[in-house]
Amino acid sequence: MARTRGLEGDRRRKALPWLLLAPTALFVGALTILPLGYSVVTSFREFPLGQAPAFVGLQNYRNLIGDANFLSSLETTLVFTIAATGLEFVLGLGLALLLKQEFSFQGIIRSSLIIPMAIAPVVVGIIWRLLYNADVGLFSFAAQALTGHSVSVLSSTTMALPALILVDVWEWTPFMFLLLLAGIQSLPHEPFEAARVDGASAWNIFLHLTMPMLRPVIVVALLIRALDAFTVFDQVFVLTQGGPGTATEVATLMVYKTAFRFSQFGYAASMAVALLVLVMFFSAAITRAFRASV
Amino acid sequence: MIRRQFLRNSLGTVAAAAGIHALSSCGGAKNSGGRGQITLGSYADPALDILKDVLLPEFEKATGIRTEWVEADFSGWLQKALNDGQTKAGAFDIYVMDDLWVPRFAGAGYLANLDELGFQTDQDFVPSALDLGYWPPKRGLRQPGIDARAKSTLYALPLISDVQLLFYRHDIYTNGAPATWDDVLRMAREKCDPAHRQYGWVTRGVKGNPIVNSFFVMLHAFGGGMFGENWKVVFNSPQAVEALEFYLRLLAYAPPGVAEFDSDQEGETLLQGNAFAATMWTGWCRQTDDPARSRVVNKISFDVPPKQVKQVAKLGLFMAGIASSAPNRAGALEFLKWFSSSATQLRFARAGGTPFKMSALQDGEARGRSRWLDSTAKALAIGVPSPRTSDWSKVEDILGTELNRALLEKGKAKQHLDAAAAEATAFLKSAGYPVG
Amino acid sequence: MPRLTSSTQRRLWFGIRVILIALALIITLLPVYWMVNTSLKTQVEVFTSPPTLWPENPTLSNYINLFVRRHLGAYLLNSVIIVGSAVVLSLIIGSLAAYSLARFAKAGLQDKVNFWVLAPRMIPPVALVVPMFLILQQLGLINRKLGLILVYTAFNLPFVALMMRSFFQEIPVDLEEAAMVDGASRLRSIREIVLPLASPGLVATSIFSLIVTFNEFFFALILTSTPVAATLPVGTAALIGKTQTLYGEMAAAGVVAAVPLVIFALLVQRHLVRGLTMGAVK
Repeated sequence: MARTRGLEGDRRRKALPWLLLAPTALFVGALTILPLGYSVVTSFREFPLGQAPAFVGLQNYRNLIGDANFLSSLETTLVFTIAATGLEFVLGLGLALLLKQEFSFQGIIRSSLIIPMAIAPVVVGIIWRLLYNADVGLFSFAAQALTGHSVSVLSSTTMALPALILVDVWEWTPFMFLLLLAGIQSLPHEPFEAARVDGASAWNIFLHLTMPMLRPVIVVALLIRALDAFTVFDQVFVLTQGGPGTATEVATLMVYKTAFRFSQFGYAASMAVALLVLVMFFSAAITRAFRASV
Repeated sequence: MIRRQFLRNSLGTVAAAAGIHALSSCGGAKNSGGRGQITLGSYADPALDILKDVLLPEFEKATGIRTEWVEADFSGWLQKALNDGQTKAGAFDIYVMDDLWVPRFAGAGYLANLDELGFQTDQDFVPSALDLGYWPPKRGLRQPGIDARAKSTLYALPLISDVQLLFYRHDIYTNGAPATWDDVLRMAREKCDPAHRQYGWVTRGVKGNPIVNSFFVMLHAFGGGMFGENWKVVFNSPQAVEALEFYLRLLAYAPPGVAEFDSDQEGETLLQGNAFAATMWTGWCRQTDDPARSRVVNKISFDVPPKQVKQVAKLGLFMAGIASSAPNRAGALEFLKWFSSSATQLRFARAGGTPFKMSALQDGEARGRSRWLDSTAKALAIGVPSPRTSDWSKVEDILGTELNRALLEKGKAKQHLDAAAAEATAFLKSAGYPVG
Repeated sequence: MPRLTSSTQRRLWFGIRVILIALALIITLLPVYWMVNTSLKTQVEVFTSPPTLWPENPTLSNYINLFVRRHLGAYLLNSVIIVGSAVVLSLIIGSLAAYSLARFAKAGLQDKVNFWVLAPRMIPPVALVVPMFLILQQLGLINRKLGLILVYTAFNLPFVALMMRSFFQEIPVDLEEAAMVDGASRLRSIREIVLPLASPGLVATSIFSLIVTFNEFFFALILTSTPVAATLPVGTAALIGKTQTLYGEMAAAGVVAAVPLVIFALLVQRHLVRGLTMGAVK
């Protein structure tokens, strides 16, 4: 089903697509692609204290490949990203399906459900830090009441990462919910009415009609959320600083520390570029996977 | 149709409003320099409250120079300051810095040379405090890349004397401050009561800077240290292992979640009355007697940290330096001269602040008002700062991760310290240090 | 197979829906409640154990401190102006680009566009800070509202373009073409067919853009410093001190920042419904 049946015609019509794209390209180019180029250049340099920056070619990248800490932070980040995005998608879809029909108080309920993502990420981190606190937190208190001992979620190497994932899921499921709901509401009526008239079950309608038609929105939602989860920073910084041990040491935390605590700007830039390349592959894979399932 | 009209109208209004505001703010938010004003940039901390609320207005009245105080969180301010230094943007006249930052800022050229600007030091400065502002460091090892014979220049002055003191409950330690760390352990063992949330000790356990700073005092008190000759890593020496093992024993009497505690939770535990003692920064002193912050009003006393083999305190002073791209250098210099004059320091101490001049620290009226000044003066005399090298942050991160692991496992002190020493040595070697 | 119109089955589904929705609401709102709860406590009570579900001595001092001592009013106004302008600008410009991508771009190009449009989001902000600062410095836009407006527009454009493209793609081309065959211009068919059908998408995109931009901290921190141009997140950053965090005031700041966003969402709620269909077409 070719969508490219644009209307051929005079030159003005041919120029239209590019005219529409131009302002966006200009903005994005100037304020994001240019700085990216600067970062790439920085990654080829070294910044010894008190001296001019020196060109070191690919040295930073060579060090990066052998850096066990960085590689393990990549692993932690991947686990976090896949778990968080997956859970958010499933829960968000469920909520969107639950709430797509009209019902009383729907305005208030929908608005309430998106409150978590409206709160500043730093504040989310601070409040959850309080909730998880072993001494004065609600979780620990509940655990004490139920089992008799308190629980220190953030100082357990096994529970710390799931705890962070929970915070992310709490905060960003509303994003999936909102987008998928909008997607569902944008679908045209006729195919669904036709299917119901033909006697299809709700489950079949969902699987063979709703999901395929939602595909564009699903892909974008997954891409954006996976990207954001990959670059998570605020919550980890406030809640665990990468601990306990290195259980929650995510890649962005490493970049931050390398640049601002250890003053290794060149090395940090090379980490950022490496992350960018990784994410490129990731997003290409997601896009291709969904395209292939036609 | 109506909806679209409305949308178009509101879009138009917003665009116009934005345009007007953008244009109106063109009139100069920039620091225009001249005699008129100085901009001080800093992180937030209660220790700076008296400076901001009382001293800055005094300065404005005395000299006619307006002051603008720009504040952010600790990591945010570091990034802003580094950015300002790197890009030579000149948005700030004075940087307030953690003493840990001085090697980096001075070494990279972000600070103005105070000697050249004609700043005169005097004997009234607490020596250990003033020393922190010199680069290369006056005493001790110099990092590779720094000429061993280069003259030490003054780049920053002390601003607030922040040191780690022992905070203890005098209603529990009825015989006065514990003299040795063994006394602390004994009291913890005797009176600890977890069921009622009464813990013998509390500390920072988060990996990296927090736990290293907490462990620092104990390490030195047991005769250990961070670096030996020629930057050899010695924090896995037998004394260091002994110190860590003792620390872990003491932490058995600490709140269960202590591995996730940073200084705010450490302080809150003490102020809630749930811990008998802790080593904390002097910025907390005033709050112990504030009923809106503390449940142990008038129950906390202060002293230098206990002795074991040696007696040390940790220095964590706030420093102030003039930005090398400062628009109003003269004004900034005038502020530093004014604030560090013995007369102003005396007024500062009497208003409740923590001064860095001996005369102010020993003033009777000031001591009457702030009962921690005595211990602060003593702590400054025996104080040890973090190692003076711009690479300390990375070593601290390595050591801090292993210490945190040891805390989580409640043991294996030697293994973790050895692992940290190995990784630190490898790093230092790659950074050009003459180790290994 | 039993039809869904049977009365008891319907009631059962309804009951399940209600329970699930209630569960979702509880899980969502419990931490929010905790935030409000904390914002009304004094610092000494925040750390009381066992934790109190409602403050013993509720106080508005946190809110008062925020507005009086920390000039939150000025920061809030800046945020509203800067963020509002940036989002409106990016919605307009981005939707234009999205339409172009949805209607005219071939499939292969879509993948490339995906990458270039998402690339800015992939880069950790720390890598962008210095060059961004330098560019704005050259333009004389440091610590000016316009500077941040431009930066935020640039950040939102990729997201808006991508989101709206997918919503436009959901609308069959046939609808527009039928209208154009009937004599309507492309512009009119966009206005009367595409936009209404895409309005749920516009609503969702605008809510999300607004939220993310409103709470953006890092670039606002580096590119602004004083109440002339600094936004709300920057104004409240100092609540995290070097050795202490003012939990009560932080929670209050969180409440103050979330309120405008939630009100906006409430107001545009009603557009999150099925668009008008051109039932007569086809």
